[in-house]
Amino acid sequence: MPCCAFAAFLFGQLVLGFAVIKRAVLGRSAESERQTNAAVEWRLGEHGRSTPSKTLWRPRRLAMPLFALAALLEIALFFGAIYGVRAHLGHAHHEVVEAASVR
Amino acid sequence: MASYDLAGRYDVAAPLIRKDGRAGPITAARQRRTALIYATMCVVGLLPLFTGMSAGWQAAGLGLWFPGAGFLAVGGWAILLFPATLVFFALALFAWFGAGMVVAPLFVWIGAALAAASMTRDQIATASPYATAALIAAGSGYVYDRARRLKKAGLAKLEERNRYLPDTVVEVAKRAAPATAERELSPDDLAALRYALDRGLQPIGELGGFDKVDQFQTSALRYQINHLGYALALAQCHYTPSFHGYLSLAQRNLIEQYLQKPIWSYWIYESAWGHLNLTNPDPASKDNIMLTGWFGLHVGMYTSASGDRRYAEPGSLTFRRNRRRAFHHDLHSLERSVLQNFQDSEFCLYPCEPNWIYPICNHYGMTSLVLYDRLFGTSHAKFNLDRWLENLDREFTDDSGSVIGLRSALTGIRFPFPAAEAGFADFTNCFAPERARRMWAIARHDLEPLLRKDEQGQLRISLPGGGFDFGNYRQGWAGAYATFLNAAREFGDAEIADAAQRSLDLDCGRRDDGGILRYAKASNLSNAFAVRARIARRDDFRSAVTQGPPAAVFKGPILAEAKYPDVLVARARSQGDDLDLVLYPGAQPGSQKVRFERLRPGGMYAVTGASEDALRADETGTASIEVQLRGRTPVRIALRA
Repeated sequence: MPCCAFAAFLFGQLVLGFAVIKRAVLGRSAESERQTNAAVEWRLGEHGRSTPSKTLWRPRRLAMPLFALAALLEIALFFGAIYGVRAHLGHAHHEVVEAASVR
Repeated sequence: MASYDLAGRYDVAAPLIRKDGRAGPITAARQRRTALIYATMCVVGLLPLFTGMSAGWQAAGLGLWFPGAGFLAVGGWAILLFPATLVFFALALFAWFGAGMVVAPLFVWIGAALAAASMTRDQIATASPYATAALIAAGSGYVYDRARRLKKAGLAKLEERNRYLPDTVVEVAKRAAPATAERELSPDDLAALRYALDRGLQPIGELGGFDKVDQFQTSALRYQINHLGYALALAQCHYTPSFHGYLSLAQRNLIEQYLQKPIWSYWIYESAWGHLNLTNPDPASKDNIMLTGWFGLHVGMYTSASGDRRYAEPGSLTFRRNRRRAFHHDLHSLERSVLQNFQDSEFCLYPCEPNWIYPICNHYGMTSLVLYDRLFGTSHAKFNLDRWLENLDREFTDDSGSVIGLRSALTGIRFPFPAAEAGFADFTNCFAPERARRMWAIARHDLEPLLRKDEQGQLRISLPGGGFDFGNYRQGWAGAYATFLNAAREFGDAEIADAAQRSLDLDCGRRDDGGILRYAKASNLSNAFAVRARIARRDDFRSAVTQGPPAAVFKGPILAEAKYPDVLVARARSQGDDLDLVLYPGAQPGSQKVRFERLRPGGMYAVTGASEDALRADETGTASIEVQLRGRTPVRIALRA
């Protein structure tokens, strides 16, 4: 069981990493499906004022809660993995001792 | 056009490429150093095995042979960590390549070795040293064989090029259309230019109409801003040098946008994890030619086209990090950074991100230096170009004679990154025109098999596959078509230019509504490049850099104010005491007020094409008139004797 948890942890990290890289490289999947680029349709508004636009890096409303949730999950996975490895090594050590005593 | 050829001994008449098929001496030395370090790691990794040290040390030693190989020594489930480490190592290489994170691969490699050591119990898996050695041997064999095959193909290509180049270079010269000095923007050109003007005229801090993906690689906002600036400066230089107004304002806005922290703050991170410099992330100091070279050219082109020297003033280009910390620069210090780095770098060419040398960004840097020399009467390019070209040929040119995409300055290893003659040729035309013609001859030769007739029987370029747009990392050929169009225009090749323009229009989602011409299936970066390419003509980039507008336009009257987008300016040129304009209505036909400056104070001017037939300048040399705009509207003012 600890090994499965550890493998799940590793797999989860890889999936997460790939998702981040993919999003960084290819953009959001929904957008990448579209043929046209919304940014090029933007135009300066009437009388020299710009139309409402997204300013750079304004956090979305749910960004912080989602970030906190992801961080908590990551921390839990990390400590779970360490616990799993320790348990696994301890269990293995116990088996070696047992085997030695039987022999 | 006056001859302006800085490159002496590398641009003698012979068009042949000279390359001996060996790595340059600096590259070879870096590669030897890398091999030596790796060999040392292997020897150090062997020591625990030979000396019978503990299993942990033996696993750590194996981990030095290859990233993650220590986990093979641990055995059991831990073997799964080997492929996992390879994936992490690939990601670390990506971080190193993408954002100059030099420490990332080291961290993964050494970290994996230490992790393996901590997980090893009584003894290592017996087969692990042999498996690791076999793996390394197989990998090395594959790399060696691939390099050998690439070298063979490259040398064959070089031979072919040397065979066809003498004739092709002559043919390219024959095809070249004559340069045209007197011209005006067409309605399509004006619609395309509005794409750039719209983005330039929005308030500082707003970036509507830009692609926002990442700030490290090619989609970064800084490149989009630079390319919009180049397009506007080129239009001002060649079509409307006597129009300032909103055209100059848009260019200044783009320069001011560039100084905003989100645009350049990538360097704070890159200097930290690439240079291990946590205290002084000055963006115009060591490396970072992707900023100094590109932005220096941008600011220099504005300075040249407009005659406005405000960015030569101390502190006029200040990169402010926070309320307490700012990096005060100007056009002089940007170019000083380019020059100093060229001189300090053993390769002469120097890195963008820490460690990564991109020849294309160094072409921007050299071009910016040529422009700076002309503006301020220095000779930096002249005194450094021979060494620069020599190193470009020796260290950054492959076996086929093409300039490579990038090389690692630390390891000497070349990494695959797209690069082609058409992308370098227009820059080279600014400082080594014969070499540039040779580049264009190669590009043209490579393009010819891709020329096809479309359904209307007109020539177009057909590129295989879906393409890749570096401005937003999506599919698309707009950037490639714009590159071909731009280079073909620069060398006066109407056939390729028309074919590239047609391909852009057919394949990239051309939209014309609302008076703005743009390509909906392209990134903002590619659209900006397409604007510049559309309006360019033969030697336009070269003359913008090496000559600038005629001196008379800096003395004569200027159109200082016109309402955007109601008044579109297709031509504005003064011979000294007059001003020739061609205007179009950008919205509705009707009466529009325009204001002139730099008139002779109190002078009487004859006016044609406007509501009144004369105007008198006030004591400050300004005057305004009403113009009825209906389609193409020529207006001329001339000082009365």
